[in-house]
Amino acid sequence: MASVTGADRPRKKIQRKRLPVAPYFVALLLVVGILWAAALAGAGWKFPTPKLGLDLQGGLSMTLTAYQQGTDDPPTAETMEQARQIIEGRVNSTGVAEPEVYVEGTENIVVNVAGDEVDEQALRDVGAPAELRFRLVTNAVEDYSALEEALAEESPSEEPTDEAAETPTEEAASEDAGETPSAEDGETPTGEATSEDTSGSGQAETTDDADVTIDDVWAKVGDEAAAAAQALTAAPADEATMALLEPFGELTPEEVSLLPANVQFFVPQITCEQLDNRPPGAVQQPDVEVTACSAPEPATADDPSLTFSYKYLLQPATVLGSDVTTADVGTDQANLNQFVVNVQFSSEGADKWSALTNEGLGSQVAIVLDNEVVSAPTIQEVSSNSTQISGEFTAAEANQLADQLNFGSLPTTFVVETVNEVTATLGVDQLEAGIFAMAIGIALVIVYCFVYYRIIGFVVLGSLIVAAAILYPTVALLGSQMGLTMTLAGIAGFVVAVGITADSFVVYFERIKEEMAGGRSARSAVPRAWVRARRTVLSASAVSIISAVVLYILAIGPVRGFAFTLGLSTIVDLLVVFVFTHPIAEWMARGRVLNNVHLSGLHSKATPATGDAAAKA
Amino acid sequence: MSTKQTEQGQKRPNVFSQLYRGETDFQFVRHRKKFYIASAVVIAALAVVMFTKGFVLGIDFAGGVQYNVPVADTSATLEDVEGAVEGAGAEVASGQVAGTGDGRSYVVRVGELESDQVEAVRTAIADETGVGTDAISVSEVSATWGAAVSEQALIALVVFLILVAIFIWIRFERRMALAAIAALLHDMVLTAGFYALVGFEITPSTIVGMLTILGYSLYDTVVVFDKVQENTAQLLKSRNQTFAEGVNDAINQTLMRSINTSIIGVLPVAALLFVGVGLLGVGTLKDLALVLFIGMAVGAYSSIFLAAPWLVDMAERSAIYQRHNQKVAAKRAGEEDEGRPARKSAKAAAADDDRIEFAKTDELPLELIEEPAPARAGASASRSGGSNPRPGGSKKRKRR
Repeated sequence: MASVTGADRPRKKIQRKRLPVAPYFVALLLVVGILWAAALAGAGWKFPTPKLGLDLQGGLSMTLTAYQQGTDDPPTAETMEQARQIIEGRVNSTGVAEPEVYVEGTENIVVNVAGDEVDEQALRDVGAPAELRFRLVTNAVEDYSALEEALAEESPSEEPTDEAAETPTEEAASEDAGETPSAEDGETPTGEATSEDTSGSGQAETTDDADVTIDDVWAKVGDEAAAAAQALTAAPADEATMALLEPFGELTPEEVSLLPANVQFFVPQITCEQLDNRPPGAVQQPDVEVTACSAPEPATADDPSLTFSYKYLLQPATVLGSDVTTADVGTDQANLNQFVVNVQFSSEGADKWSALTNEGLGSQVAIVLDNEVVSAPTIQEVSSNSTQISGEFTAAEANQLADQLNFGSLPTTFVVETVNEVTATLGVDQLEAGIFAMAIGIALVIVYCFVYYRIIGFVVLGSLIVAAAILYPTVALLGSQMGLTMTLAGIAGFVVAVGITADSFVVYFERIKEEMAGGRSARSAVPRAWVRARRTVLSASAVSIISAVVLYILAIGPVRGFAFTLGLSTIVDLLVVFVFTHPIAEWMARGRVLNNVHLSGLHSKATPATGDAAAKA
Repeated sequence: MSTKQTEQGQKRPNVFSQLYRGETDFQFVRHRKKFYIASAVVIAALAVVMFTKGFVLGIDFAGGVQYNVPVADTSATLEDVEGAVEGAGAEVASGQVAGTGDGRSYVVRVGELESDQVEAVRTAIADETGVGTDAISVSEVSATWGAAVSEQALIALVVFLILVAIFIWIRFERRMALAAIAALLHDMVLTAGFYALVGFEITPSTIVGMLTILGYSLYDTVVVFDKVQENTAQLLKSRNQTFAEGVNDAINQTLMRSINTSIIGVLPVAALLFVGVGLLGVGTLKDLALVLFIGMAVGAYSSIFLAAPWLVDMAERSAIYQRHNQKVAAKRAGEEDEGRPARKSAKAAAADDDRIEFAKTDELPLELIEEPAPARAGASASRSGGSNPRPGGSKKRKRR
């Protein structure tokens, strides 16, 4: 110290700076111990492994982007969440194992499905708008399968026979049912609907590309059952037919969707559960007759878990969702406590709607969406450009119906932006490549540090090991608890972070070197250097963290994983520098090693100019 | 540094050991115009390339389908596979062999396809190679996806630049924030230009990777600025050194640190690049590593050769530093005759009044105000307590 005033001040400071290192190591051990314990617990007391992304284990990842006509504004978070739930439901109905569906950014929904056994075509359709159809109800029965199942679980003997007696009106049944256009062949379009039907009619959504054909299904249930089912024009009453039709209850939803509509309807063994789980778009085609169920309704007032549904046989759709211009919620003028949904039709739609109400006056019209009848009001009067749907709606139900009329079931339209299908083999290759890159990267850095800093290289090695010991359980824990997946980009983030982590050591060691060049012994140089290096490391890390956070929040696509691991490693790096690298350097400084010219790699000169420093101090 | 044994004319150790000791005396600041010109020329040339040649955009921007066919167990050639793809009615955009040995695969890209065509092509490839359809990885991207990703990246970039500028402004000072951001923009333009020149393919990963370099390139800049701040904290109190010289010292002292951090930063990225190109051939790993590799190199250059000198340029516009330069020159004129500072101070003397007006004290870091507030003085003394004698020591060495 050249200045006279500062002569004794620094010495006092150095005295204070002899920090006890033991507490740091205890704290570090505690942190590492807790992390590992938590990770072990999270993994069910097995060795914790990070959750691998699809690009590393194989699987299919699809990005759907909300597409809003006429506006650049992104959809609201609620809209996206609503859409996500619907899409998740649809993905689940395709029968894949543990799909992962999440909102990314402001307008993307990502669907991740692990494994090779993925029906890409079916999955692709989950973002389809599923446009609304208005179909006249030909026939309706109640489906008690859900109720029976629920009761069977509670008290196996009880049967809901009395309710079955309240069979609903079977008006206008026979003549339409007699026509029997087979639903899934679609070979016999009924003309009138197709000509006006321009957009989103869902022709592509037919499920005939599945491996199963209608013939396979007939073969599965048996010839006799097939013949009997096709001959049905009403629910079978005799025991023999019922027994014969039993195999239909075993069909998968996909197989059920291949059956003609009247078979789906009349065979009582085909439950609403099977019908609801048909592939997306199974009843989308407007020009054919279909069968669909209503949403479950409570069977009794006291137990909401007991439900039943109506099963409807429906005519070809003449009025489509695109004919609706707006739908909003209002209240009944006669009874202000009663919610109604007001629907406005386009001019083209108004003509079709008036034709439909004319034809079906007094009977029910079903509003069909996503394989399900969302509402089946009875037509009270002929109307054209607007109509009012009333019923026992709650405000929420009325709003939902209005939304569905406005948007179809998805609150906005989605387009498939990317489909990434990675085979398990390629996944393993990529994982190995990523780990290999990490190994080479770490090896190069460590070799460089040993060459350059000699014995201090051990501090670098130790620090990197500590960093790894903290990062690994953290990543495993985040994977098991919060669904963080380790992707290839994420591994790249860790590899790059090796450099950033080592950089903070360089800043520190170079600083020590500088102090020692000034003639200090390691013992006095280390704490002094730490004070300054700390500032630099904090500033530089802050910049890295800012960039990682901004990228993670704002970017879309796989690179978010990169940003996440980069940010995480930077934070861990700070922790390691503060509680490991610094204390260990302090500790080493007390011994003789760092003062050894040949070992430490911190010396600037062949002969340390101790005399100079002594003169100053 | 406070030793007097490295005087010029005496035995001067070789450049590497000087580097190692932080004792180099490269005149980064004095020759800054040359670096500016060099960068300007390179950027101008690259701008021409960018506008005339344009960028090679990846599948994500054009839209299309990419098939990855493992071919360890097949004798079919890439041409066979491409033929099969064409036969299935798709137009091959590019085909390449990726990886080696058992990991060898063909990567074939075609334009956008209908969803049933995607399968048809896959089946055609499977038939041709005898590899099961299950083994062929497909990735499909719409033409708007790349644009969406880039748009988000651009938003992220702007937000990042604003946040970082605010951070550096608070942590250091306004001029440093400006110089750092300017250096970043330089890095980005240069990296982008390099991509156009070489014709590397640009993917969304490239773009986001580029954003990451920004963070990295700033790391370097921050290390240099940190030292600059430390070295120049007491500068205005004495007449020993001009700001430009203080900055130049700081660059030289942190040179080894910059080189080390850059090498250590680049080593893992090089590993990533090696594996990405060598083993996988295509994909995220390669895209990220390549852009990081180039960007880091450019970033290391810009923090040393551009950011710090820009800082000097900006500082010398302020009246306070101009006056200080005059004082230093006056003091030196009394001792000895040296060309550069004298010239500079003459220029400074001719400064307009409006420049003085421009230099409000709040534009200076607190440490640079001549009478710092007592509390702050204590804090800065504890941080830079040891740095006081160093500028004096190194200055002696330098002026000789």
